[in-house]
Amino acid sequence: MRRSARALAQAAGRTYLQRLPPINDEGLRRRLWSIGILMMLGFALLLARTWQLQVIEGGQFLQLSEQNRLRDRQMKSLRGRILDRHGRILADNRPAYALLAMADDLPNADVLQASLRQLDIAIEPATLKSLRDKGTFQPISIQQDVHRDQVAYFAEHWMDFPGLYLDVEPLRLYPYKSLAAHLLGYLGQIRESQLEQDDYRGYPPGTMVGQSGLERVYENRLRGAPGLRRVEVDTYGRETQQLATKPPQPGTNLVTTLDFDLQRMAEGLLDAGEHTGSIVVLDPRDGQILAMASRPAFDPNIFASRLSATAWNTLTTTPKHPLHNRAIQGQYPPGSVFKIITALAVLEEGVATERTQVCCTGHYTYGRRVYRDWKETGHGCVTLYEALAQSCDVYFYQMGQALGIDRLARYAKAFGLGEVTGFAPRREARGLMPSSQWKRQARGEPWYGGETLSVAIGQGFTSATPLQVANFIAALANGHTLYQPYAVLRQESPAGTVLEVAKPTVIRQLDFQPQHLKAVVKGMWGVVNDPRGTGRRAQHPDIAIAGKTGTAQVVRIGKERGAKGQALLPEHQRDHAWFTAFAPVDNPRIVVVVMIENAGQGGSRFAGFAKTLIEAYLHGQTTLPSDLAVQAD
Amino acid sequence: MALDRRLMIKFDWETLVFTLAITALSVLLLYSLPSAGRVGMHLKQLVWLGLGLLVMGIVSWIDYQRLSRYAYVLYGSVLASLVAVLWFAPVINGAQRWLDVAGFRIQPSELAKPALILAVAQYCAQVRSRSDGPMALRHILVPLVLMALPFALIAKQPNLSTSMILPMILAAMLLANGMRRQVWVTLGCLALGALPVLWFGLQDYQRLRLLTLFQPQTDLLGAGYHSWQSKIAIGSGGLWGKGLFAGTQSQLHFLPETHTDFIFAVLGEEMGFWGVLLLFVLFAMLLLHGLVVAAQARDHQGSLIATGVVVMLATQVFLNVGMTTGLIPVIGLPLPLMSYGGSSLITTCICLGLLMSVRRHCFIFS
Repeated sequence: MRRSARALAQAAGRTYLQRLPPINDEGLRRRLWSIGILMMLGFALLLARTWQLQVIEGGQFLQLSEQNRLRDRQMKSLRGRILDRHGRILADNRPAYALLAMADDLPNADVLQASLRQLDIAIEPATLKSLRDKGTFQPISIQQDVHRDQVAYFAEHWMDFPGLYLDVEPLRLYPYKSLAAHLLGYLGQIRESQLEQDDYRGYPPGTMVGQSGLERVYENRLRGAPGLRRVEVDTYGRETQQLATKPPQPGTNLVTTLDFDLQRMAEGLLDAGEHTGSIVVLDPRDGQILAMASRPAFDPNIFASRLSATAWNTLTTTPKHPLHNRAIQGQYPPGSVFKIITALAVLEEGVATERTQVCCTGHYTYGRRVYRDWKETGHGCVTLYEALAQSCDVYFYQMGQALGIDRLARYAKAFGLGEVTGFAPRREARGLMPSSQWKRQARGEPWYGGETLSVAIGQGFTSATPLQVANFIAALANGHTLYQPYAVLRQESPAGTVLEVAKPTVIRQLDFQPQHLKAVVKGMWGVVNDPRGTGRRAQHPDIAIAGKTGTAQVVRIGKERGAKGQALLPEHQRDHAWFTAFAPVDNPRIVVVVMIENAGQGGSRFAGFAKTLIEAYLHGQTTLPSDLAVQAD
Repeated sequence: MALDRRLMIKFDWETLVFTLAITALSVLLLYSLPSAGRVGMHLKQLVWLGLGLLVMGIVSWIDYQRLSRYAYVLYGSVLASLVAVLWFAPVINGAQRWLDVAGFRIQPSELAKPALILAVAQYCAQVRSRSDGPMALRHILVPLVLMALPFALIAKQPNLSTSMILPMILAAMLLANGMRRQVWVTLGCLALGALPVLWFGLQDYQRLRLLTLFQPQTDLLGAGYHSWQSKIAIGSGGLWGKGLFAGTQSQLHFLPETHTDFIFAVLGEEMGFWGVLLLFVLFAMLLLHGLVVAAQARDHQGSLIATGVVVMLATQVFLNVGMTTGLIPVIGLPLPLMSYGGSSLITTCICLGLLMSVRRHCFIFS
């Protein structure tokens, strides 16, 4: 008992620690109790809440925490190569170093500028600021394709560059620079508008994608599949560890129909004379494009790493438009090359026969106008053969008049003029084949008879691209089918397994009388082989070549005609020159079209180009001795 | 005086044990956090703890009655320092909270809490000695003013979170003291009336915080971010936690302020539900012990002081945990004894010292 304990202690003389009586206040105790209960309720509530978060919803939150910390980083895949038909690599990949930075690790702008200067890299402060602001979850690319010297310097002095690191990525390489640049195409950073399209779903911003040519059309085959690295990151986006990888799949290789030697030769011919224009070489048996050259051109390697705005501006504003693929985008009046169609139409429609003669005196009157022949003195009395071989205008004025525009248009359209060939439907120009219906619809005027005369010799409203011309010559050469030109022979896996083989596509079958075709071809043979043919420079001792020259007028024939007159004109007003050819006549395997802009004279001068190309192609393969030439009767 | 045997015999060991247990947990968690090359936070916290225990010891030694004689003086000096903060303190991050005194940074707003407790207890004791029975309405005025002054000054800093504790302390102390019913009604109406005033007095970012509470997803990168990340951290801890050093949200910096305001989230993530339970048990026992001390105090004043301390701690715990679990908007309030930081720890130790003083001084020698 307490009292006795106290009494005992007091008795013993020891000090005793006594508790003072607590406050005698029941109300206090009650109130303290209620405070205590409230507190316990509070704890219970919080405990329940924690239970809810951790146990009931724990799984969801665990998943969310995983999402927070896991990132999928893309690994670039090797782009598929583009090869010529014999396996020569035209577009390749090379490893390149990129200088990257993690936003949050970067020092301030001045320090960064100073350190970058050591590498001879300058970066605009405004660029740097916008890069920083873009966010911390992806590394920032400071410089692509860092030079080897810079790489070596960086590797040695990496301590001086906080926040920066090097990474290897594959870059597109075109080993032959501007060779077939228009056909192959180039890469460029994916644009905002492209990111929204279905074709480019899954492409991260900043990816280099094909923007033109084969690179664009076959983008998703060439790209392959990017790999994936699943990494754990902290909130700064820094990788703390790698959890899983899926290796990238390299892209499919494209084997094109191009013949490297032919292509190089064609481009060389254009370059030698600094010509602006194009050359197209087709195989008439199936429409394969053996060569497609356009000048001026550009080096697609400059696009491989990000192109600066000034460089791009330079390219797009140069007056001669190097990015323009003249073979498919250049539209020119076909000139005398069109006479082939007129001739065939004449025979098929029975307007005349091979033997029908027209006497050409150098001019032809129609209505109130006098239409001139390019040869002032005229060609004398000519049949179809001579008219073609010597390119007599008057013969065709007369024949054209007899045919009328609509019949002429029908044949031209059968050969594909006035419509895209389908080779590059989004990029090709359509050209134009006028007709009376067209004129009414497009110009709201009736067709005037005099205009037919111009069309009959390939001037006037008519326009065609070099590819269209090559294609129609090819159809004429094989005699029965207008094929769709194509450039990819087959697609192969990087290991060499054939994945897909292209098959020739037929646009339409032609149904002309074989003897008419033969007559026209004979005329074309005469162009090259007749002593008075306009295309004699294409003559070859062993190969039977047929062809046709052409001049596309840029301005109306003035007082002074011929070379002298042309020389008086400013360059951009001079006539364009055509030369088309195919060989060997009996069993054609190659069609060549040469189109030189503002050449100042007719295609006769460039007939030699065709000969060079044909010879190289045909003699480069096992050939029979020269085919028998067609004899004139 | 001779060595006070009370110090050794009837020492309030419960408070000390619970305090050490909780701070041990804190040091453990701080140790598990990455400290980015700085000297370990856990070590610094141990230093603060040492200092705090010293302060606690000193305060507990002093008889609270003697201390209360200076209650108004202490209150006055804290008030003065709060004014000084508003005038002299440098603006950091849009707020003025710290005073530089002889090379030390002190935060007067923290000291306002024990100062208020002492002042209110003193006043109530004086009223009780003069009049008899529960406090009447007219007696409430002075405590209200005592609370309102520092409340306004702290809220102006702006530091709404800290200032919110003061009314809670006052309410609890008045409740414990006993008041007439009419007083309660009046106070209730006053409180309700104050709400709209408060709303308009809130700054934009504070209002935003309130709103994003209900829809954190709408602003996950801004105001809702902390709350969202905190819930993810806690929730993903599950029953057993991810283990020390393995709290991905905390370790990988997704959760900000892990060592200070969001230390509870680190606990939840790394030690799971059992860790949370452990902490709650420790706190509950500490606080309940405090109420027992209040019940067994030798006079009303001691009882009020003890109640004030207990409610102050409880409020801070509830507000901080409520915030980290997403029940209330994000406020900048540390978790007592757990969060890293000297100000909070020292102040808490002062208050616990008061508690211990109340406990110890209900014994005398005979």
